Amino acid sequence: MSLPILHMMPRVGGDIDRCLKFVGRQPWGKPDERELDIYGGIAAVCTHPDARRPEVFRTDTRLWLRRYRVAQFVIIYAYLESRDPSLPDVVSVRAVRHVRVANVFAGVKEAVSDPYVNFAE
Amino acid sequence: MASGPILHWMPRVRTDIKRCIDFVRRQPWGKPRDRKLDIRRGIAKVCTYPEDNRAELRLPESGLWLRRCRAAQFVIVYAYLPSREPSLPDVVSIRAVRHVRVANVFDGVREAISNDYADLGSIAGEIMTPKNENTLPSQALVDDDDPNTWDCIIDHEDDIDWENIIATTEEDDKAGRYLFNSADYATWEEAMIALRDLIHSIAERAKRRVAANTAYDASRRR
Repeated sequence: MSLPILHMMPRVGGDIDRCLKFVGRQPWGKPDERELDIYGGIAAVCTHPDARRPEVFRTDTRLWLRRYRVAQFVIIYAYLESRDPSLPDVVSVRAVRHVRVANVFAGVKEAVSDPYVNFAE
Repeated sequence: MASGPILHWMPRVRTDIKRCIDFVRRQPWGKPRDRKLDIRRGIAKVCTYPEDNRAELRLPESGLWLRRCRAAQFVIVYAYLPSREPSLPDVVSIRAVRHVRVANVFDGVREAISNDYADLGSIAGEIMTPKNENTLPSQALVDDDDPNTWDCIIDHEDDIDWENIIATTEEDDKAGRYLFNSADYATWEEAMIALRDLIHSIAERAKRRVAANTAYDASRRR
């Protein structure tokens, strides 16, 4: 089995940084171990790139995106099979995302100063 | 409780419910009608027993306490404002409805608003009185396309925004701009070592920033 060429898009660096910062901010967070998860996940994608089904297709780019779940993360990638047997396939890692949010209240914005006032009239 | 509270329904919640129901509809096991009923029951339960769920998170500026009520597969986030005057009703302000499984594959993809969107609004309509529907204080300020105007924003850090991923990577791919390219290395083993080093360097930088921010926060609290 020949291994594919691995491409990682520039935004992936920012994604990994964001994921590990999120983990690092949690009391339970172990960024050292999660770092290994991400590495292991990308390696697994390269070993079995067609193990995950294509999920999203864009007609303009003719690109199928797949996702691979590894520990707390999802790796979004495209698998481009070579038409020529002498050329390797390409795995293009497009994004790495965390699958969880810290809590259900995250991002809930402040209300108008005192909404009750509006109903008291 | 004689008359029941006024239900204050944030505009963003309709989108939340649509997102939740759409997620259910896409699953082979999904029963969107039943799940709509779950949400309706959950909201009715919140209105009937608003104090049953403990206050969990205080919004610092407004002093509002947020609570959550589990309703089958969903979590309803709300604030309960007891009346100061016995002659005035209490207020229940629904802030968000979330599916308990936050890893939604297609949540980030924008879809055309279908007719059933209006149907979903009836969930609120059956509970809200016409008087209350007209008194949403921020209704006029809300633009569905502008998150800054939403009363309630769900953190979709976990959601996969396929459109955004495509938009932010396609040009780089066409131009051959890569963060990492295994073809630059003589062997696969070398490439993997380089990948490991790259991820490690990103991780070290992330950890340093978190540590610096934590130290900064701690110094501010003193």
